[in-house]
Amino acid sequence: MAERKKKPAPTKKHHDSHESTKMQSVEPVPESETVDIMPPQGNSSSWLANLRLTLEGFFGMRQTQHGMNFGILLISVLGIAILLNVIVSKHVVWQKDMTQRQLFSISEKSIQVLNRLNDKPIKAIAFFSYGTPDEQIQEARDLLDMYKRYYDNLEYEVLDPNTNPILAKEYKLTRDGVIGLSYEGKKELVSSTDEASVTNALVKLTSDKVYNICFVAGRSADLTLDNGYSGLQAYVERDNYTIESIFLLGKDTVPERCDILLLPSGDGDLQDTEVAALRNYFNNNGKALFLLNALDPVNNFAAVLNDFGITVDDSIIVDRQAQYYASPLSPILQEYNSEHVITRNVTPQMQLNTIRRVDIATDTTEGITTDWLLKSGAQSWAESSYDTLMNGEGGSASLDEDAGDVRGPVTVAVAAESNPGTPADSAAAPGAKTRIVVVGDNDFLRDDFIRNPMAYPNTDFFMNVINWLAEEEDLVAISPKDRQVAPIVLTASQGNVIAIIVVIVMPLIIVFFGLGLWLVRKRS
Amino acid sequence: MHTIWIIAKRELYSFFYSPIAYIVYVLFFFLAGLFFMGILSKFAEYISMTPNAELEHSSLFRYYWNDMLVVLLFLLPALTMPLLSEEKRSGTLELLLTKPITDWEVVLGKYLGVFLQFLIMVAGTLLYVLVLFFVGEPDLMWIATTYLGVLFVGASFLAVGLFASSVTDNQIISVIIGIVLLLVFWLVQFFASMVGLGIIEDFASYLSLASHFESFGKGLLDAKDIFFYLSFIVITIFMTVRVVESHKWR
Repeated sequence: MAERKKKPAPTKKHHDSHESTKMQSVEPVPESETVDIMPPQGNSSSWLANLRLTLEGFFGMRQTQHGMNFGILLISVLGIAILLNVIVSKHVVWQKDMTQRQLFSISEKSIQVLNRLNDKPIKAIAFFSYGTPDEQIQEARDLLDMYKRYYDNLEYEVLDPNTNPILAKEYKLTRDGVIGLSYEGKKELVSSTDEASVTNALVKLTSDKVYNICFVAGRSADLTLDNGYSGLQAYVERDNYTIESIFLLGKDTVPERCDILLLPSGDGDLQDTEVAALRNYFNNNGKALFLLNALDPVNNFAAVLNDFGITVDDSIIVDRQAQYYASPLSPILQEYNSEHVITRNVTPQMQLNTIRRVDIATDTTEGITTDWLLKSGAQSWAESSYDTLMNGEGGSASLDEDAGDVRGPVTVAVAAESNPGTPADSAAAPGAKTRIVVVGDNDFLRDDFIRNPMAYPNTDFFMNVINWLAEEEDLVAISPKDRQVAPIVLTASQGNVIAIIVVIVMPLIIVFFGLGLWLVRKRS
Repeated sequence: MHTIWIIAKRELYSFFYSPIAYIVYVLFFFLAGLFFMGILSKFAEYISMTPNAELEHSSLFRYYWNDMLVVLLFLLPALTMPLLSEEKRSGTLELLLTKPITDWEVVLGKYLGVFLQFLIMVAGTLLYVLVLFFVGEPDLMWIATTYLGVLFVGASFLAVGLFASSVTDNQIISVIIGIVLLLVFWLVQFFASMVGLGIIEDFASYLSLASHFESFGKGLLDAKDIFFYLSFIVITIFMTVRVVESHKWR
């Protein structure tokens, strides 16, 4: 075997640019200065020292330092921004309604009601069926947003009652387009998407008082709360009222537990004792709904109502043109008082039958404010002769003003309210009010009417009346927003012209402007 | 301030000599006109077919801009894409940064320039307001408040677009980043509601650029919404300045 040549000992050489780039040997470093990269096993302090050096090298780099500064600064600025936003959103409740009619802000009164809720959770569900116009749903959302802005603990959602039948049943829903409120286990339905209705519903939810409605029976044997008007119970109980049947015959006072009286007419008129009891009741700020059908004896009813500037006569409304069930005695009412809270939001499709004229006396009664609620159409009239009407359901009757008929539109429902502290001999406490509503029909709330799903305006009207009658003295009136009902006047030709201008002409102007600028630039 | 204005003017002039400007503007006004006619017809029809319909004419612009802001979400990144990315690509950004102007002046100048471009777009839609005055009875203050909201949202979109332009030298990537970021901030509320995690959902809802526009659409000036947009714009511009500054030490 050839002997391996020993390599010569390394010698110091100078680097020359012409020399090859072969690695040059270097003078060995004294042992004391060497640092092992891979420490011998078990030597952790050396490993840590290396780690420290590596990290120092990394963090010492300019880019790393700048990057870290960037990150720290960004986190700090983001943190400050988030904190400031939290402070502003929670503690700076500043909002200015710029709309002319202050449409999207709630009144001070509503805010006061919200403050009484003690920050307890309220749940609101807006029930809208599939197919409801977006604008209607948005109106409900806007309304609830207004309240949510001032009361964080209000949660709301929009649901289709058809896909949520259990919830709909829980709220005793009879139709959609309503808002259900739930607070502390109590539920209230609001059929109108306006501030006054929602705030009043909130007041009732927070009130411990349960209004009791007394159905005054005794006029007809076949028209009682359990027989003929049994359907009303579900509606009143849904709104936290109770209802019971009472008799006033032979009594001189109305029971104190009766917050509201419901008096349908029937085969018999009021007795004298009943008249005295009612007068006493109204002198103590009683509240009542009278349902006075045409053809029923009502002389004593009329005497009581005359105290409040309400007239009731023996007439019957006839309308040959606008009628339900092909009967001239079932006229379609044409006018609903949009100024009164009872009728403002009622769908104008109430179904009544054999209606009596009820009107406001020409002489105003001092201390009483009376308003009409419902009127028949201009083509109708109040027929004063029952004999003529007996011949074939009014088929041969015609308007005869000389005979005492009254040309339409004819008032068929009124509301009266005494001013606080009046009449002068009232035993009422200052600030209390007497409220009365009279409707010239008692059929429209009977079971055979309200069972018809299309008759929901009847029950809406009824509940609006009850809610108005039950108005507590601290339930201050909230003026409704003056909503816009003007049409957008846009004919087909106007629409075409506008479409051409905005869709075609405007983009073309920009194109020509650009081309013009390009040509100018090219020439210059 | 003077420097910022000079940079802004330069951006504005160069924009109007670029074909991109006209493509964006024509597309915007074409879509804006179509949307306006669609909503106007729908309003007129609803009012005519619904007795006693209580529909505020001014709310037309609320619904209109709810839709148009989504169009702007895709269009405005196209306006901002060349602002910084083109400068980076062509190498003029380094030159600009060597000038005796601060990074803030550079960024704010470019931001102001593109904001003026956006302002011109929005000003063109005032023609539709005029149309509504002819055919309806709008509430001027309500509409003005809605437009203020549009300016806030647009300014936020532009700030994000400018930031996206600062992180890349490729304009296409800049547009994509801008659109993605804007979609996140526009739809965060929707995604959070799907997850439904209480406080996280509330926080995400607060971050949504869309949710803060609602009050303006209703004619309401709300302190929290104004503060949100201002802080969003400031933070985004701040981040853009930091990215621009980082070119010096990268």
